[in-house]
Amino acid sequence: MSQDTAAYVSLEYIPKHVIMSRKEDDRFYETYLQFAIDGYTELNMSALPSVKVVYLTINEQNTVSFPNDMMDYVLIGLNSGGRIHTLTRNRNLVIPVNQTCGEWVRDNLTTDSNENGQVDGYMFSDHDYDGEHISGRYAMGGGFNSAYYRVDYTNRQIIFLTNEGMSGMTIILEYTSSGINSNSLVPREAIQALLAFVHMSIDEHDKNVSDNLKERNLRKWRDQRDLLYARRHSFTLSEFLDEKYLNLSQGVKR
Amino acid sequence: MRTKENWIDVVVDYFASGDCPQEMKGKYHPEIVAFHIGIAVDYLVTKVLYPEASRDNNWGMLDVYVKAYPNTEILYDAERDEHYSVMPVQPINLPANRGVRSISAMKDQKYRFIYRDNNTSNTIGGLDVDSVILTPRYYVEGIKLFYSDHILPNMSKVLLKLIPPFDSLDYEDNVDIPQGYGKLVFDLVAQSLSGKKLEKVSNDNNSNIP
Repeated sequence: MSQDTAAYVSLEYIPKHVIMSRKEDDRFYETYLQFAIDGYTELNMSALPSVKVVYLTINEQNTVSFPNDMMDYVLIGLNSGGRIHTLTRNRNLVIPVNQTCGEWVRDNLTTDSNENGQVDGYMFSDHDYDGEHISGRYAMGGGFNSAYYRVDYTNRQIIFLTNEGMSGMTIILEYTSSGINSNSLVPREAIQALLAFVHMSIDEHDKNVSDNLKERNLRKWRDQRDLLYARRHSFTLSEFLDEKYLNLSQGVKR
Repeated sequence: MRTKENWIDVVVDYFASGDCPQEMKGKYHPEIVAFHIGIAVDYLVTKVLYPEASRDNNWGMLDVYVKAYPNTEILYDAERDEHYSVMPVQPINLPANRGVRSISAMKDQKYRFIYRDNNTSNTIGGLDVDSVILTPRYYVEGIKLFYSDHILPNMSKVLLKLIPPFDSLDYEDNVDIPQGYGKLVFDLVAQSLSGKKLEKVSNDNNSNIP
């Protein structure tokens, strides 16, 4: 009995599909695979953000290094006795000497709201830690602020400040990942976008391909990427109803 | 389909019969004829069939010439710190080493090694693809196949599929000559035996291609 196709496919599906559709043999497999990885990274930065959670120990200089695959952070919390305190961003923290000051890439992350004194908590993404699956860990808001941080993108590190020493403490970092390893899976709705990217990349470097076709490839890639983004960010029915009823008030009938 | 032995017999008979040019009749030893059949068949594969396969992306054309070499050992070169295999035969030299059709695990042909040019290992080794996909890569160096670091430590043998030259085939191996090319083999053998340059056989209007 045949099985339903899987909702996710491996990254290798993409170059194999390209080779099949172009009727080529496997001599370009590795090149096409690299294009697929490039495309996947592009999607990670736009339509398919991959969010990971990691636990890091603060060193003696009150810093932690970024994970290798971290593109940007989402939330930073401190694990204190099993409770998470999200920290407050402070742009005035001194970067340790011999380090170059980094450029701010993204100023309006959710953590900025800490500075507004909101006490709403934050949900950390589901993740595995120490052999245990932790789902939707809830953190206290910035109103319970107990420490500060500054992100140094140039040196790929986060600097912390508190009245007490933080060395040896564990922080919980939620971040957007470049998100590719040998186990990476591609959601089925992203396949067409990735195929479009790989075909575009192949033709882009082929001097025998006309500019018209290159332009069409570019347009197709953009269309597929935008379509994926739209699909990923569309309302579910329950979200729509939540949103509707949230702002709905009924006056007295007259 | 004829075996290598059949082909040699048929061509030797031809050169012993009255059908061949008078000056060539009965003049050549069967071993010499066999050698020149090899030249003709290899010529046919490299200069006629391969360009057709490449032009039409019809790589299946080459499959009838493939011979499998199971249980080819993986060896270790301590000086170079690389794993390698010695090919049982030197495959026909086609562009991008397409004489090596595939290298895979013995019992799982889906676990198929990825081809790399000899001089691209350093370049591709610096790209994401090298660390993201852990399938072993291989490159060709003469009669040897060298494998990348991705090769599994417990892997000791591989299944090779090569296109061997006519000389390296066993007498009972099949030799497929496509329909319509049989006469060409006779003509090419005659040309080769008489020391003439092999004539252009492809119909591509390009004088640079035989």
